Amino acid sequence: MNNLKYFFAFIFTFSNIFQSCDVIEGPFTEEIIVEECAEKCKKILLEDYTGHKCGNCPRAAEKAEELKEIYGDQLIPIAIHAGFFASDFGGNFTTDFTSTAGNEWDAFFGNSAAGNPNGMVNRVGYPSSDHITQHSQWAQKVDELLQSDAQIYIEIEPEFNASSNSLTIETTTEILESISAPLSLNVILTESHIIAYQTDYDADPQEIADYEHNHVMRKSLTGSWGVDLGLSDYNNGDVISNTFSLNLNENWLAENMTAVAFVSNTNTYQVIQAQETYIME
Amino acid sequence: MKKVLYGLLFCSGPLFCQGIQNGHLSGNFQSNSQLYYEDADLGITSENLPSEKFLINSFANLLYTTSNFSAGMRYEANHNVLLGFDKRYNGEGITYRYTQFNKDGLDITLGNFYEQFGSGMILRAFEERNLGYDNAFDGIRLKYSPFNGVYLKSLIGRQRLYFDKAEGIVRGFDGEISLNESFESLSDIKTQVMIGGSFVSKFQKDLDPIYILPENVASWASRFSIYHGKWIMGAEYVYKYNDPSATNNFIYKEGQALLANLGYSQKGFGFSLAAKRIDNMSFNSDRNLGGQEVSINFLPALTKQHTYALATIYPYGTIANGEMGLQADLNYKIKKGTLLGGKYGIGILANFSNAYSIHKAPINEDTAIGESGTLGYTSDFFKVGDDKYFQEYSLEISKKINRKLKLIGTYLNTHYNSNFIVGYGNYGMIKAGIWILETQYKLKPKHSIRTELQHLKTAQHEGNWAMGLVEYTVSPHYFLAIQNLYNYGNKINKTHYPNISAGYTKNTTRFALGYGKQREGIFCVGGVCRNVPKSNGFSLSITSSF
Repeated sequence: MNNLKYFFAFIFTFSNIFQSCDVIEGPFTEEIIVEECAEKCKKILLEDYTGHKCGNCPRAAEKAEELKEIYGDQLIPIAIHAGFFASDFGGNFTTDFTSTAGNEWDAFFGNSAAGNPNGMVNRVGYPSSDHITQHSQWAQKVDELLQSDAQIYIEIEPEFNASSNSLTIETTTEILESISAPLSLNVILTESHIIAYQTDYDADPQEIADYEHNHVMRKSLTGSWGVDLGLSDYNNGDVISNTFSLNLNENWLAENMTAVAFVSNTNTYQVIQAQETYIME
Repeated sequence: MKKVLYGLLFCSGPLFCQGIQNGHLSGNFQSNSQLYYEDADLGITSENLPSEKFLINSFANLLYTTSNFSAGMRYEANHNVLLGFDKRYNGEGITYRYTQFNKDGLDITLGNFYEQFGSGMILRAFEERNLGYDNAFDGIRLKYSPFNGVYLKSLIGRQRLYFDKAEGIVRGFDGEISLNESFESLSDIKTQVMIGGSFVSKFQKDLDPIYILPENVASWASRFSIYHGKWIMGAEYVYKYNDPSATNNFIYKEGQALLANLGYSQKGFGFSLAAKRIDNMSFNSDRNLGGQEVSINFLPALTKQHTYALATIYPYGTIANGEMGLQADLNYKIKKGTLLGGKYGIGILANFSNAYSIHKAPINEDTAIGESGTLGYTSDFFKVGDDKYFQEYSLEISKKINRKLKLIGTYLNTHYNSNFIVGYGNYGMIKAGIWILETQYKLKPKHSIRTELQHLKTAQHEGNWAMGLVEYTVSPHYFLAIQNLYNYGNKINKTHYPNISAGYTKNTTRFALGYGKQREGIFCVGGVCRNVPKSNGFSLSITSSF
């Protein structure tokens, strides 16, 4: 009798797990309706840490493109080639997509050490390991961040001189909501539509000769950690202007390049606002 | 007095103390450390040398047990973790603690625990320290045997993720019945039958704005095993409902796994046959974490586990998204006193294993195989796919020549498809033949010398390897070993990997000091793998228990 009592208690307590199953019959996806970006809307920086010899990385790049399609201007993806899979130039993989700032970010945030591919969405979560997210988590993170309003607006005005291959970028940072923290402005260049080798474990053959690399971070104009915007407290209406110049590498194709600017909290590295524009009209 | 004091440490009141005094306290400690150096031959420069130069993994377990109560804990300190281990293990803390007691036959565990249902293909939590693998549960587990031969287990908890826990909650129930124990009329018959079943479900909130994800993913399994004299046979089938995850590229197809085995064993002869089919069976506590992190289940590799250095270069790692394979093992001893067996007999071990892809076909004309947000693909259960992942056959012959000398000769032939097995990158099908000769010679009582000569021949990847080892042991306290691996067939860099190590053991405490070079590669146990980076330096290992 005693045995039976325990037996039934045991079954009763855990019988609920037999109901613990959700079967999705389809559709498996739902349509996301993203409101059109207002003039000074919030924009999200998505950093995809990748490498041309990383066989799983094309899945992350596809996810970035899928999200770009959905969120449009409100999402700014950049591909940062860094770590083991990006630094191996053996065989057909002769193109160097790495950059000084990208390597330093990777070493600092620990992305490639955690296993490519992965990324950061506005660098939220640092310094806990939560800042490194799998590509399957990006949509959720982007969606969460877009629920809040923009605190900053950034305007980028590039001026490219084709004859001298030189570029001048003027940025205007406007504070929309008071912020009590030091801020850093980062300006980088990205290039898309670069055709070069990429490993893809899902492809046959796995070395793809004509892979299109997009949003590749080429260079930072503001060092690895940006330039200080000069204050420790920022009030609504504050406007800060900056100018940066450089000569483009002759291998870069200006018509496929964008300037990406983002402002981050200097103490937490969290990105507060981002902006992107093509350097040629 | 010592025992009473220990008992009092765990007592919180007089009632609770009943039955837990006069217990036994035991524990163990292990520390592995390495000092890293630059090495021009290996391409290790100051830039890729760990900044700390010195890294250490260490832990200690404490366990207190009485007749019906036990409690324990593990403290880990990794400052910082050795190269090749995930850096998220950096730090220190209590990573395992539990209490377990048995009252009226009900066994209750609170806190951390390891567990396995059936073969583990539906649920297995275990630790493999050499891999940096630990998916222990933190929660509650109950075990109960309501009738003779009926064994029930249930659990709920979250799994370890480095120094944190996975997001998902795992619930599980397992029941097993031994017919011969349960029914008196069957107790004396020669055939022993056991049947069992499991149900496991995980919960993880759906916060994804694009996919409609199942928050509760369930899996069930059924199994049997039959013992009849020298024969044993068994099988387990696992079915998993839709579980879109990072590993399967967010497809909604069901998962299936089947493992069947047949074995025979008698003195001097035995064989076993095993076959498996795995389809979309990655099952993780967190759908966003790929690979081996917080795995709820364990998918066996079904290949021979090797210990010889060159035989471990191309190990098979299970491909959870789909594989079919089989393994056959044979052992036979040629009797002593026969023409072939001679004075001491000859031992023969033979093994064959392989793994292929499974058949996959698109679900319709417009959908690519494995496309996210779809049912992924269809698969004919009994049809083998086009790709061979792995194949190996091996033969080991051991012969005792006289009272002092024993020889063990081994040949392995391995086909390792590097395009699919995680580890080395795209070198295609690597075909390797490996010859090994081990000698064991007793010089005098307590003094023995062991040597290994190994050779790996392959035209692919890094080419040929040779290896030699000499180990001198003075039982039970000392050993000294010198070995060298030479990658002489490498077209880019013919590298030597010399190592020297020495050890001292006193009772239950062991020190081992080594210096040398470590080749880059992949290390696997049972199909679970980790990358091992190249290194050069001193290593020190200390283990102790009481």
